[in-house]
Amino acid sequence: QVEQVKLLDRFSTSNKSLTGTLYLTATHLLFIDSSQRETWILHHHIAAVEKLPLTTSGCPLVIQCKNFRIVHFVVPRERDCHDIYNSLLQLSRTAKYEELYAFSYNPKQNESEQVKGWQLIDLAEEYRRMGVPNANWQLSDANRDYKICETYPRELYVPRTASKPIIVGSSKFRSKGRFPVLSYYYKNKEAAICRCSQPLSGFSARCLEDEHMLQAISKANPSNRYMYVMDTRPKLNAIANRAAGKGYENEDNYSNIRFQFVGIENIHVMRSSLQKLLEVSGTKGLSVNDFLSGLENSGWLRHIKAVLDAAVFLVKAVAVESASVLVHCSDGWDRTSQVCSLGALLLDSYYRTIRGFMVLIEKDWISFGHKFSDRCGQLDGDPKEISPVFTQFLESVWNLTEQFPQAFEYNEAFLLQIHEHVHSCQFGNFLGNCQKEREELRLKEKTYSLWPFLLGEQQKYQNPLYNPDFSPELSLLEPNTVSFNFKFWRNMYHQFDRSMHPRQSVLNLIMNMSEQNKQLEEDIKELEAKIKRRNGQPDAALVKEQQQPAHPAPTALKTPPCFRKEQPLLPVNDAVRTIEGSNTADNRYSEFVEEFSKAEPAVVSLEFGVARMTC
Amino acid sequence: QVENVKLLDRYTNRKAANGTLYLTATHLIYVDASAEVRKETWILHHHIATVEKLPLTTAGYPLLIHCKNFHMAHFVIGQERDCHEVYTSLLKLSQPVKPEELYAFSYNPKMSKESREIGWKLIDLKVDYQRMGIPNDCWEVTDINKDYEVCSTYPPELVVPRAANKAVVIGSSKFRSRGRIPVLSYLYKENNAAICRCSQPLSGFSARCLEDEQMLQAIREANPGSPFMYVVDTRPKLNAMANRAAGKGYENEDNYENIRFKFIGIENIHVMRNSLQKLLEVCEMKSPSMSDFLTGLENSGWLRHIKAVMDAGVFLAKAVKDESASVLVHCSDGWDRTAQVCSLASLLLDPFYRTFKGFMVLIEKEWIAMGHKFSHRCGHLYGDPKEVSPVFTQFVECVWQLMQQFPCAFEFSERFLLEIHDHVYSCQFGNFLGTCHKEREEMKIFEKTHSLWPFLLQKKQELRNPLYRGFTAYKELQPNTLPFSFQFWCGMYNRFDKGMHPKQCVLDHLLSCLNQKVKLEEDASELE
Repeated sequence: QVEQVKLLDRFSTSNKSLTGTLYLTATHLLFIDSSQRETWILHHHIAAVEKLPLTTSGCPLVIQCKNFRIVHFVVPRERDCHDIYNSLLQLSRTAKYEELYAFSYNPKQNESEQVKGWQLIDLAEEYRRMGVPNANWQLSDANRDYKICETYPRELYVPRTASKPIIVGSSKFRSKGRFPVLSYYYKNKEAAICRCSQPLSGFSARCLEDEHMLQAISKANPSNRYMYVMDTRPKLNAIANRAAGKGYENEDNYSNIRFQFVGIENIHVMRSSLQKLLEVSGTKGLSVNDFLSGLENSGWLRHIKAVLDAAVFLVKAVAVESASVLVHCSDGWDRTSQVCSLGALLLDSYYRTIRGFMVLIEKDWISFGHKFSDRCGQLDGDPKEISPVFTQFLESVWNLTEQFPQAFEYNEAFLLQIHEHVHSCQFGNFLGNCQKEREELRLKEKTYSLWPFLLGEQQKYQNPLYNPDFSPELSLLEPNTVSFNFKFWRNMYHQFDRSMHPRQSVLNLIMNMSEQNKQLEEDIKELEAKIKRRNGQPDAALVKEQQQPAHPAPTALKTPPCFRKEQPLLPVNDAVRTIEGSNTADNRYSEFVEEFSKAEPAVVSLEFGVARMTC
Repeated sequence: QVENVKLLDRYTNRKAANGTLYLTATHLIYVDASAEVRKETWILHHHIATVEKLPLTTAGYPLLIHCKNFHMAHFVIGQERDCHEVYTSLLKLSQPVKPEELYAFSYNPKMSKESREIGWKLIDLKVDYQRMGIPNDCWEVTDINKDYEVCSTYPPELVVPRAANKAVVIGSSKFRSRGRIPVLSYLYKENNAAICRCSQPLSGFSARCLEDEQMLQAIREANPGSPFMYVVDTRPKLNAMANRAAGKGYENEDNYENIRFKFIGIENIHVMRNSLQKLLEVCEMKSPSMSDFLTGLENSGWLRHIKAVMDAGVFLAKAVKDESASVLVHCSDGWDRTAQVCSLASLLLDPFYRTFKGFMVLIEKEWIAMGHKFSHRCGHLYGDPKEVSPVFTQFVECVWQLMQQFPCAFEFSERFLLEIHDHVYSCQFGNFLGTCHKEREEMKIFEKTHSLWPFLLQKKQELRNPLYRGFTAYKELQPNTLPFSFQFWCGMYNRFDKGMHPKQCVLDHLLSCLNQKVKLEEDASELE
């Protein structure tokens, strides 16, 4: 506990600061300012602690968090500062999984609730929803004991015609044994998205079983003779890998494949790109030109665009050409996860619901062995393994929500909350690097699942504009990836800089509006029922009006729905009155503005920053 | 009328539409024949900025039309003769020479004479001054300019400090470029601090003018709340110094009592014109890479200029609100940057200007009445292309940027801004014709044309902001002007590229939601 510590705002130009007390608990760093406001920082969120040169007001300490929060403390005494520095360094670098927060976190749930929580997402059920197993695809038990591939889950779906020897043979020819398996099955066209790692082809090696495997995949799709093989790496990288005995598929050896490079950069490029982005977004007193050139130099949006472009390519192949696609990168757990999951998100509206998104993450990221532990640096380890691959996925989804504001059941807060917990280590879902490791850690017994927790506060994550039956044709999203459409995600990278956000939050307002509409509809129903009871005969006209759906179809929007009577021209003497906002139309309007304000709590905003971690 | 014309979409590679091109007296109309539903594209001749013939292609003779509202149409015409005819007629039609040829003088919405006159009286600036509490002890409305003798580009009625007598006003006008003396733009009732505007002083290297000094003193003393006043020169310091050599320049702090002088550094109309040009080039790239786009955006400097204007507006609002100090703003002639800055500051300070009516008043007051040269800046008539500059567009964009930060504070939506922007160039209504009030009177605008405002008020339902929380919800706005807060305005510069926009329109949805609510409420009360 250190008193008289100052917290500086990183963007305000005035040197105002908050003075308060700093506490170190077993799991959090806590700062309470003089007006009793609390700032909680989870130790696991701390990415870097830095002591700056001594100033006149004390010893500055800058803490950078993995959720892009940056706090700048000034501690009056150097010894205190040094103590804090050392303890934070120690606390933020965990050596063993058992020391992670998830193993001590206890939300007061009984055992059956804990078990139920873990059973919430059932991938077998998810594959059934897609329509597998079926005549062409089956569940394989080849990897039941993790014998073929350690980093894959136990249950894998493969073409029926791929026998066990083919699977085993193919896995020997693929980096880390990650052979081609089903990721998503597109029922409408019977086309499949499959994923694997790079082949060990070197300059000329071949593998008959692997060739059979690919043939089996393309034959499992009756509507199309050829299949695509997408290598998500830049061509140069893939060629370089050949020297190490790895590489990519030779179109001559595989029958009827169309090979395509997509050119997403590797984890190291992405890591340094994010680093540059953060430098730009953290600079004080930046000019517009500095910001734009910094944004460009970081290349971050270019990478986001590359990921989305790849997904769009994938979706076109599947939905337009009805061709199956096999996606891989090097090991098939970073770029492949990004592209497969985004592809599925574009194809299937289920993944655009809150629950569906959880399923998608469980399937394409957690179960297929995206190395969350390494990529997020959950344990003290190789910093070269850390990379914002999952962050990029979330940002791509966010960009889609911007283009399709009505297509997603969840809102930005949901994405941010998931991002928060990927790094928080508070729940078991993202610990470890693969399913096998998770089983060994006995996470299901010792920790809790994030998903029931998120579903519990679902209200917060709902997109008020969501309209599942907005238009059935839109079940397939076709985003525009012209560069004008990519924006800097302020709410992610400046989530905690309160002064940076729009001062007014629209979310609650819209939420109230749609709720009020629902309420009114119910009122009407009730009133009608009353009238019916009284009169014994329903009023036909009113019943008809009732049947109008809450959200009129888009076609109805083009012809403006009957507006209230409109004054054709305001008479002169009305001029003064309208200024006061008191012509009839205005009155009506301010009336429900008042209603809004009544229904709302005093503070209206998406206050992400305030004590979200206090659970 | 030309048949078999193709219209190319500038981003997608979809097959070009086939259709017929019609030239009417006022519009270019393209009717798409291939679509099942009759699809028409109307382009007003006044909106056409440039027409360009491109080299022959296999498909025919391409004709590229750039519009002032950032619409771009790429036609391909089968026959060379047709193409040439269309080209020459468009050139002629899009550059009228005489004001009488403008659309406004022929536009006839079938409205009675009375309602047209009522339309013109809809916005009364006197009422707005009354709203600010003027006349009062310190400020009065003077008719000293009723014959445009003091200043030909100012309106007949001006608000000046009571303490400034006629001699002071006339003396000051001789010392200000084009006689544009310091007059009141906005009075912040709460602390009596005022925003005033004028043109640069003719100070050269050492000239002084006693009356002008008295004028500034009168303005300062009209606000007892502060011992000093700000004088803000919105130009970059270098430009202002260069002007001294031409006998113009800026106020010397030593000659004026208790003023605090400040440069703000908004660039001049030529820099802005070039900047927009570069921005549009970026918008026109077919499929720019992310880097191309960001570098292009940066090189254009457009957002930097928008930020400069916004920063200036914020400075003014802060001086008035936080320091209770009066501010005098000028640039060179006081009709471009000064109009931007004064109107933005008023918008930040006063929620009234964030309503439909208030925004109209603001434009009438700071832009139309005070002589922003719409005709020259928008190139309504054939004239000097060096006079064209997107000064008003920048103001509209600043308002849009504010709307992004304060989505609930404006009664109107983006569409209202776009509608106004369209009509500034359309010449369909009389409001924006000419360069100053005197010229508009001479053109008999008020008798011969219609006003835009009643027309817009009729469309209020479509143009309103469904998230508006009412007049009293927010008072002063304090926007954030960090570079992160400025976005490229797709809705303006790529407005007509359908493929570019979010596929789903939230605005429509919310509006229909609100309408439905009203309907439900009515139903409910009926049932009760």
